[in-house]
Amino acid sequence: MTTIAYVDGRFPRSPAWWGMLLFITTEATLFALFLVSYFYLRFESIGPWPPNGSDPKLLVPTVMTALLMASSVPAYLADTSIRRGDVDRLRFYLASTLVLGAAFLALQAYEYHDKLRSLRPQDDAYGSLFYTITGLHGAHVIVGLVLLGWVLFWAIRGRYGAHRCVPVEISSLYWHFVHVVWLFVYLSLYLSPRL
Amino acid sequence: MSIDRVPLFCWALLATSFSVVFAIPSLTAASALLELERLYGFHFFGAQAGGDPLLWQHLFWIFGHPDVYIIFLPAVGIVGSIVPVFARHSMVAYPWVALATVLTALLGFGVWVHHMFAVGLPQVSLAFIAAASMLIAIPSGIQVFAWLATLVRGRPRIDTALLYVLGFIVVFVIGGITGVMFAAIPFDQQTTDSYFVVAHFHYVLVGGAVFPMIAGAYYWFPKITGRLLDERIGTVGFWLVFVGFNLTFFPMHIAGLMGMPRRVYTYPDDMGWGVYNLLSTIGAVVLTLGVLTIGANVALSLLRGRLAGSDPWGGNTLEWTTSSPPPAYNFAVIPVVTGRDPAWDERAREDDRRRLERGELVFPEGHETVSTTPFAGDLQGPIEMPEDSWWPLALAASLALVFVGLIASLDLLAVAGGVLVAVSLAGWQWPREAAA
Repeated sequence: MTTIAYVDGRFPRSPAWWGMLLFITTEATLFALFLVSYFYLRFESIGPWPPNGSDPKLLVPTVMTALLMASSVPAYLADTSIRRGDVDRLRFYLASTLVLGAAFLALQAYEYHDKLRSLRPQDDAYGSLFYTITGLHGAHVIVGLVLLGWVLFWAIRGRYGAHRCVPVEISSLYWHFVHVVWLFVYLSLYLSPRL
Repeated sequence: MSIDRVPLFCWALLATSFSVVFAIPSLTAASALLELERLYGFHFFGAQAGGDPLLWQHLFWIFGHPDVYIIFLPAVGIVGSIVPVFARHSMVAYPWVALATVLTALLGFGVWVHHMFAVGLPQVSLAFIAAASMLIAIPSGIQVFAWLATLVRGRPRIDTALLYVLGFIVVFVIGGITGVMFAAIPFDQQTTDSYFVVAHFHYVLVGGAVFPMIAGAYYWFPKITGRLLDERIGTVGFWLVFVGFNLTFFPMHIAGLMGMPRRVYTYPDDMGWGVYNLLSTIGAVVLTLGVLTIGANVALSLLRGRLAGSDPWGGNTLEWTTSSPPPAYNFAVIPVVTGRDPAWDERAREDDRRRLERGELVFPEGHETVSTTPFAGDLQGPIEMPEDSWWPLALAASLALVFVGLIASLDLLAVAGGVLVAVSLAGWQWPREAAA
């Protein structure tokens, strides 16, 4: 078609990749502002934090953290597999990410079920912040699972290949974000009250 | 086009977009927390259960001040487009103006507390924010002097677009001076919530954003419609707007210094504010006449304005090298830009024509363009652009339904909107064909 001297070896990023990067930037900013609000109200408060005196339990959220960290590995491998055109591994790694993410959500539901007996979001600012921030993260996990499920569906139907891999690439990128931002939530909401 | 050659308008939009990406989430956060508090009984801002009303003010102004620059910076870009064309001279100090634009956007994130000088924050925070607020005067000053220097070095033609730019410079500098006055904390605490503030923000926002927008309308109207706006009606309109604006808002400085509070619709007879308010009212009528004149000019010129041709102003940027209005594909060949005034660069445009004949950088099949490296502008390869689609519009409408549902407490509507969001996303992302 055309004879243009292109720069060698650098594959242009698709507009979708830039779009996902910007989306992640706005979501990261949103999380940062919610965590800033958490610390603002915490340092303005008088008396113990959390106000009812009991630090959040650590066992379940720590297991959740491990699951989410682990789930980033198959998400990364799904991306590298499809770049090589390996559709079988793509399906396997996507399914693995989905299972680990779903396990995270199940544990979060269990944690809510347990915690709601002693703390409701309407009780005080601490309760509001706790459920709002973890809930916002949970919503991002759900979006990630829908996204990965969608990609897995089309991967099974054979729509992806080495030269049609952008949906896998950007879903994987989003999933890494969900994982990394959870570390900040975990540090702020679960670990920092114990410091 | 390497980044040191893109039009200043693009620099301004780059800086604006940067601000949008980081500022809007703060409004999202503030609104989400407010909704949770008002509709579901959560506690963030009410002081009764550990909330703090100042958190609302912080979240709002972390959005609100950058938003001032989201409004103002595109206007700076418009002025940067118009000045060199009507001065018939390359922009003076282009790199300084570009960097000043970016610096304004960055500093805009460090000054939100100057909207809160009177709420009782610690002295240390106030001092930091006061210093940052005064710093804003430096990039603004660089820009104003660069525009003036370009006009002085060129041979300006005073058409309506340039009149509005000159009016902008006068009004914006007055607003900037009162802005620096507010950065001095004791002055701010004396005049806060008075009409002096109302005068200030109209000088920076109407002078800073509306004047350039009108200038931009006069400048690009012929490119968009193919017809020129009438210059005589334009000049009359400008003087009505300029005089009306100053007559409306300048007396507010004085009324404010005399103690007239904002946000209160009435005042006692014997305060001595009557004459200033009368002047403002007369000014508002004159300003309205001016705005109506602009509207009439648009309507008349759309019907029987003089035909513009591709380049009525002798413009320096690429849009003036294509027809008015431009064809759907914009350019038959992707232009290779070798200077800051590409439309004045005859040799480079001649090269483009030769590339067109050879079929180089021509994308006749489908929605394609070239990707380039972000800074140097080296060619990387063809990329596919999105095709025409209704799905993004459907997505936006569905999102609107969700939020209308939430605000009006119509939960079913919100849920229905949520389902439509999912459907729109699925439709938008439907893979097109099997992989090879």
